[in-house]
Amino acid sequence: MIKIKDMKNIINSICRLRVLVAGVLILSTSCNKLLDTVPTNEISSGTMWTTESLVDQGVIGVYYSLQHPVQSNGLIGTSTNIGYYGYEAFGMTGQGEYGLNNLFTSAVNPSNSYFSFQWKWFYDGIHRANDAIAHIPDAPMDADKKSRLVAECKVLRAFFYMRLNELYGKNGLGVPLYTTPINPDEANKPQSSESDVWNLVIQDLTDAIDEPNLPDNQIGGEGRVSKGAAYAFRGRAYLLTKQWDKAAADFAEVGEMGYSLFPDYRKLFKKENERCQEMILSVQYIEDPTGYGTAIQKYCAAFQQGAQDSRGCWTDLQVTPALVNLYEEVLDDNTVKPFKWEDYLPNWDKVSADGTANRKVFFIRDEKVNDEEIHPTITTAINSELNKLSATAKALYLPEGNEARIKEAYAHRDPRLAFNVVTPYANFEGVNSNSTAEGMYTYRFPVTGKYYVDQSGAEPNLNKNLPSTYYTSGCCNAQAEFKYIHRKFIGEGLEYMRREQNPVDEPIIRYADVLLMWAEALVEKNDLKGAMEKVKEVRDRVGIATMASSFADQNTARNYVRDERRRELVGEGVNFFDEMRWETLKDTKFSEKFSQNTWGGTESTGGTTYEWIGDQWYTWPVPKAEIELNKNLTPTPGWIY
Amino acid sequence: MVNNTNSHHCYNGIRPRIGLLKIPLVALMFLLIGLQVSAKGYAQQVNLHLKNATLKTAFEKIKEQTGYSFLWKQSLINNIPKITVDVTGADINTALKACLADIELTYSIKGKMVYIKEKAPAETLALQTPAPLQQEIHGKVTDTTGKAIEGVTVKIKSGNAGVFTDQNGHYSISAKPGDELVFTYVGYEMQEVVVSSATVINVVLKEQQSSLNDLVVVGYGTQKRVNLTGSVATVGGDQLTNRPVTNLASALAGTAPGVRVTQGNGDPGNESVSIQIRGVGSFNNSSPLILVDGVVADMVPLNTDDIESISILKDAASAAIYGSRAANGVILVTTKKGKRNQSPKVNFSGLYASEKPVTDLKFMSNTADWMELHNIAKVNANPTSTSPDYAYSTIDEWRAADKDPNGMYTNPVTGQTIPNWLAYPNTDWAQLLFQPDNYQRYGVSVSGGSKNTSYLMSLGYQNNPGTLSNTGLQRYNVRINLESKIADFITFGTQTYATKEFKDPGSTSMTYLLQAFPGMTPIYKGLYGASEDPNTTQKDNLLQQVAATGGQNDYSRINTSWYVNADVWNGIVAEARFNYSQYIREDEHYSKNLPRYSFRESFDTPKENIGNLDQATTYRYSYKSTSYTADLLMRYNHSFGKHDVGGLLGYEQYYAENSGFSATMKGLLDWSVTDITSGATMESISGSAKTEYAMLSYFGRLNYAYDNKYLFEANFRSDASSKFAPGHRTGLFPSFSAGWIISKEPFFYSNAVNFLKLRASYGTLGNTVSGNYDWQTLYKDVNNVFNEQVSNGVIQSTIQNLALSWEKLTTYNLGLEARFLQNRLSSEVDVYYRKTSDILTAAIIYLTMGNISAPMSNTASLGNKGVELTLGWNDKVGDFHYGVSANVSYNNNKVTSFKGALNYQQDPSTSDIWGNPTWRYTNLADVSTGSDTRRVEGHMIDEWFLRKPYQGNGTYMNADGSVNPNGGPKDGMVRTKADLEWVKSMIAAGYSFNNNTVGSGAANIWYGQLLMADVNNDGKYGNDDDREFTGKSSTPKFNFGFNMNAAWRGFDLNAIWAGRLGSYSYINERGANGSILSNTGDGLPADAWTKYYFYDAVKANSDYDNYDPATDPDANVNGKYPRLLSSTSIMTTNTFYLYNTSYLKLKSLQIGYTFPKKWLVRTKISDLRVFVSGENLLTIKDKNFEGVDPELAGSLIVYPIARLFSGGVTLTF
Repeated sequence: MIKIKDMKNIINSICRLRVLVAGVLILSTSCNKLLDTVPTNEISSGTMWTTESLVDQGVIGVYYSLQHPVQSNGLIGTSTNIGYYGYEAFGMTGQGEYGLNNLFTSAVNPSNSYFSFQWKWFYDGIHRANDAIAHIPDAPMDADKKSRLVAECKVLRAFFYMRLNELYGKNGLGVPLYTTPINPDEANKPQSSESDVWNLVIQDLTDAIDEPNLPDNQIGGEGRVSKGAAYAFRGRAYLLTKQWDKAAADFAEVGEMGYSLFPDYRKLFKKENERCQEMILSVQYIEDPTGYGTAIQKYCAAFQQGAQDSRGCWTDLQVTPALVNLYEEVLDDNTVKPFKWEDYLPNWDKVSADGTANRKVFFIRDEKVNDEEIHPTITTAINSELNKLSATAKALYLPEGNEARIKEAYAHRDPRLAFNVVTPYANFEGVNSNSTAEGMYTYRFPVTGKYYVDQSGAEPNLNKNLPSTYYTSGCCNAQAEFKYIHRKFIGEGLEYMRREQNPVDEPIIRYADVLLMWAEALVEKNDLKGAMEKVKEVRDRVGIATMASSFADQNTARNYVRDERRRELVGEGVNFFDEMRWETLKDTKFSEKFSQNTWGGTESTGGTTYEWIGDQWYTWPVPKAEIELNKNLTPTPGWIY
Repeated sequence: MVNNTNSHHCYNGIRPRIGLLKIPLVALMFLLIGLQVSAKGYAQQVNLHLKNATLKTAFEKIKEQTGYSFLWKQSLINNIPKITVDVTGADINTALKACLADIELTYSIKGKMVYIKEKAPAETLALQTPAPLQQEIHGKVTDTTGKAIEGVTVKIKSGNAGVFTDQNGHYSISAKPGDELVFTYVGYEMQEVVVSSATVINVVLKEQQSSLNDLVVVGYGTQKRVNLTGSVATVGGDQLTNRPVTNLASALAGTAPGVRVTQGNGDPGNESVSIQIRGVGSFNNSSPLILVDGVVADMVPLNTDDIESISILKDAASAAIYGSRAANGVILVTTKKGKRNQSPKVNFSGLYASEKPVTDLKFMSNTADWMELHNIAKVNANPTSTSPDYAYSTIDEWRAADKDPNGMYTNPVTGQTIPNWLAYPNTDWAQLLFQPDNYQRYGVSVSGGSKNTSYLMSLGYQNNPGTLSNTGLQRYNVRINLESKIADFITFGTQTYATKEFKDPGSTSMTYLLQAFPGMTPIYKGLYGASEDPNTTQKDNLLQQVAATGGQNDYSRINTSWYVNADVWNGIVAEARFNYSQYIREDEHYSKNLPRYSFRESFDTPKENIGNLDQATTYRYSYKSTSYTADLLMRYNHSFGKHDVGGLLGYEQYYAENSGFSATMKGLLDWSVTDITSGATMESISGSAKTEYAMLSYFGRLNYAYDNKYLFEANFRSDASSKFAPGHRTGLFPSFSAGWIISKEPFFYSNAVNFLKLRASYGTLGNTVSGNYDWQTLYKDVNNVFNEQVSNGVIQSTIQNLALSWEKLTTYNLGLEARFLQNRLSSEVDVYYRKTSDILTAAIIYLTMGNISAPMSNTASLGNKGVELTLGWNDKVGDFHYGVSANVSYNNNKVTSFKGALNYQQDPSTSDIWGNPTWRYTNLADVSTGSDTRRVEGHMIDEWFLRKPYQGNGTYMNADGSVNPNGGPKDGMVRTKADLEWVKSMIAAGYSFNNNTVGSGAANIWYGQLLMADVNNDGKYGNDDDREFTGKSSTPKFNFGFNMNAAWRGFDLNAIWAGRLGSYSYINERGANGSILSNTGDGLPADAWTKYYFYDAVKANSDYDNYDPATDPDANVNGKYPRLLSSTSIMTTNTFYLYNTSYLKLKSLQIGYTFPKKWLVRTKISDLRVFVSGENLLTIKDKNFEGVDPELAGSLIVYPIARLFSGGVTLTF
């Protein structure tokens, strides 16, 4: 019995073992392949730059680096695509509701995130360009195209280094130079000399200009850089290094490449003209599909503006009263003169002696229309505002003519004022509360009730007898005070699809900028007549006279050209770099310590106050964290680390 | 001779907890070859699981199962107490002995008849002998199966004399009548017998119900608790059932030592429960590996009623079998199974609970005050400001209306008439947003088994509506655990479950809560309110925001395991398992038209947020993740002489992939037509990239025990992972452990100590990186516009590291287990050191590299030292049974290497105000990361690194008229003019306060400003160099839990407390204690008027010389927090805002009553229990804590955790 049982067991066991072995074999096959996983949505290093398509995409990656230049947090309180207009708040022409992250207060220090954001942003572009410049020559594709792409990347690299050196380099000390791809542990070079950086910028641009495959211009083109852009940037580099002749010569070449002024200043900043003959290099944006535009509408436009998707804009970034006051008064076709409030409001200066805030009296709306009180609620609101003012100021309020006076002050001005700024009591085209219909809006102050004409409880409902032209009023950014609001690039009515995806390309450099830089170079050469010609070209476009007296001497001419740049280029992120290189920011931005109301009052509404810490501000500090990490760097002189 | 332990395995092997797959070899051999035959010839096995049952019930059960009839005199059993019996697979003798163990009855069997009779007096009663004489008592000690037990301690209770039984169970001891003999043996219940005249005393020891004999689920198997050499904590299913919890993980809080469970919020289904075992083990993933029935799975959606037990493997010895994923410990969830030879048992449970939010956040709801405080903040920030954010006329109107809430308001334009309380609302959003609701859950399960098959099927349903509308979760669970013996050596089975969840889609960024405007009614008569102040418009109504998303999120999971288990050859058992699991998420969201109404204006015409069909969106999202796991296991167990040998070898393949897709379309035909296909235009398409992850592993274990006293175990696992570069994929993780049951040694002899075991372990484990492709350089695509159309661009996104590898973790563990006082007191102490090395850190790269992701590299290391202590007491007093268990764990965490040592030295390049080198951290950015929390060598991970408030001595000037640099405000806050003058004098004397100047604006030092201390004495008060390490972090030093249970007659009580000590969070937020109201709609705390420093900002500015807040009766110079400001101040982060988030919570309390069986005799119900229970009933916390709930730490803008009161019933048929 036992034996039979044992036999059975053995046979059984053998069978069972076989099952087990078979099982192991089945599971073990094709095991090691299992571990070779590759990402499905990214490209790994071995494959990059190996095909024409990848090279094309890599170069587009370098162009991508031109986007999002400014950290939006702190400028507008949220993180979004704030394009080159983001620089506006830093300059003389712009101001912001937010505290600008203490950038303009005594609390500014080399740890400020704006300094590190920009530093990283520029070097991102530089490394991507370096990667492309190093690897494109080995790619299996047409040699001419390769040369063109390398030239494009060099122009972009030059642009990034130029900006870096402008901001972080000065007094001989430049920024660290990297021209080939590096490993992370190799990014520890010291600063090169300021001139070495300029030499690289000029060399890269010269290489591009010498490259036969690089087209002259990109008018109506894909949006790449051209020889025109290379000349414009090289001219600018010469201007910054005070090589006036070379600068003037390069600026002259830009026109030769096909660029010229677009005839209509107002329409220049509309979508249909974004690739016109004036635009030398722009960051391209589109509105459909979503995600490829800037948030300019939402953060710069008046509250009642908006787009097809949403209404209600925030006006976080505004135009300064100082800039508005720079727009000259047009007397006739041949005469302009500087604008003065005193000319329209004789008591302007007298009132401000009591406190600038008292000038508010001139901006308070009419109490009556056609001799009839609009509504007791509005009268109460007006009186409540008036009661805050000094007795002298209060006496200057004209119940029936207050709006007319103020409108008059804006009426006979450089036309660019009306194109660039929403001024008090001016009409602008907005959208209704459901973003379904367009309508004209007018700002009045003070207001009661709602923002939108079509909402229940909005002001027009208070008095149905008002003339139809008396559109209701709103106020900007819920602050219930007048601010100057941007119009440039802003969609009107339902013009654009999305409030946060403005489709208008943002010019980095355009021909008017080149002309005015050219004028600068000529002023420095003391060719004042030549300079006036260039300025006149820009002013003729908007039909405004250019006075010879503005070019009477070199200093007058220099200041006039600078003012012209401010008037012409407001809202394009250009002014900040101008004020920095002219070292005028202290005088122009800090003369009034506050983010200002239209009357230039010193009252803060958003809490933004400006304090100048000293001339070291003209050179941005190498970020503190980078100084601590990289001992080869020299801390930026003047800054306390 | 059959080894005791193994025979025990044999009988208990069929108990469900073990899992049939893990039956030790020897036991199985006997079952199959030897005993099986005879057992069959005998009778059916008896399974009795009776708790407080009558004897009669027990006899009936035995009769059912065996066919034996019983005969007894009614008078015999009339006064017999209830019995508790738990035998499985026993023969009739064992079963009867178990039933009658504590009772003065015995039995005899004749044929198929059992006769119950009184015990012979000699066996139980001490005879009254006149002259006690020392006599030799001898006898035999056996277990309930009649087997002799060797090594039983036999002692006289009153004395110290004691002997052990020999290998035949015999003993001999000298005693006198009246002495009490005490028989003790580990794992068995103590017996006391009073010596009578009889000199032969035979004793049957019953196996203890105690946890020592419990089988504990360990990696790929089970082990008796007594034989564990690693550190394993277990949680019984009974601590989890009948609790109104949506998330199984959160129910673990307080139940096991060394396990920290924290819930992140109360959003049903998104509770963000974090489990940490023995502290933070890594900079990266610190979460334990969770396996459900042996397979990596999410424990959250499981039906708590299905859980048999949860094991937590804490040290390397117990976790090493899971190798590279086990660094943070392993949680093994085991589900219930049916039992063979059991008639179907139907269990129904139902629970209904009321759910309430637990939040201490109270906002300023008085709209008038709220507005006025905003105006004050604005004037404080800029005293020349003349345009308040909120008109004083409005504030006055509101105040007047508050005095007459039932007065009528008439709208001047529309003529709408409503009562003042509606026209001038005062809403506390923090309290109003979250509303009580009702939670319910029901479950039914059927379990049982035939001779060869066992099964458990369960259905569960729960509905947790949450405390915020449109965020509820409904869950359906189904499970089938089935096992069948398909041949005499093959068992086949499945564990399959599925869950389906429906989650309401409402969500809002809770940051809006801190910007909620009190002057609006959230909802009235079904209409959402808008701001009632006509000058304050476009304010968010959070309730409407949450409601504005229609649709549903739909989550489905299926998880199915199939296994076959064969006795292959000579004690080798082979098992093959395959698991497939899939998770599918499908969301559909669409816009709803929910306008806001100003009730002052109209109930018919909305004021704002009127939906626009053209802009309405409809969204669909689909995500799928699938994985499979295939295992092959071979087990071997053998005993010879005093040697027990066991082994395990295994192979495992794991593969997972996931991908997702989402699309939004815009423009709807009608608000009721919401499907995505009805959208007019494509708004966006995107998704989550498809990723894959695979692993191949070999693993094994070797156990050896000598004489059940000396225990040894070794484990290894070799893992190869797809997350690393070829050549760097494989890691080997070994561990070793040993145990010594000292109390079994002959020399160990103690009255008080019943059990003593020492164990030690050492091992290494791995921690996997989270990124699937981190070792490669990757270029990612970016979209750019070219030629006015979207063009694909590519930029480098990561930098490669071929050498990337596992994080390695080494654990040393020393444990001591002891039981005292007849096993009533039990204790367990573990001391450990965990060292994590090769921690993956993103290299700190130069800013000059741009925004590229730094490569990950294995650089840092971290140490965790800790002690865990568990103390338990179980006893009964008459019918009252009770137990208390407390666990405390202490963990100390320290970064041992990172980027290099931190230098605190005098820096010649930075001078103090006297021109001397300053003491400072000179290489802070070099060697550390973070800002307010720093990660740096020599400190605990993410330690708070902050300035601290200045503490002056209250004087101002020295005798010589110079300023006293130690003077000034005692708590650092500039409260009086004297304080401010002191600051001015200090600055004049060359001292500086972080380069700030004195002035009335927000960005200056002024009244109500907190000054910071000059820690390094450089004369610069509160600059960067004054930051110091506080020794505090958000990780608690102590975690503890208390479990209490009691039973009396049919009543039972169970309470679980959980807590932590020594954790700190930074709280400085509007709505609570923050002083900065940078938005005109920012929230304020209810007690703002007393909380903040107030002064007359206008007078202080315009009439500085004559104004002193100290003498201003309207000022609140004693306010604890700085003045309110409408813009960023110069305040730097500091310890003033660091709060202790320690707490002790009564997590769960349950009181139940089980109806006596006799009441149920006439029903089909065999068991009926009703209960009331509660979750999160009580929180004890630091009195200064300013947040919502200390468990939620510093987060204020969260969905609070709910408190639930429930009642329920469980029924068994």
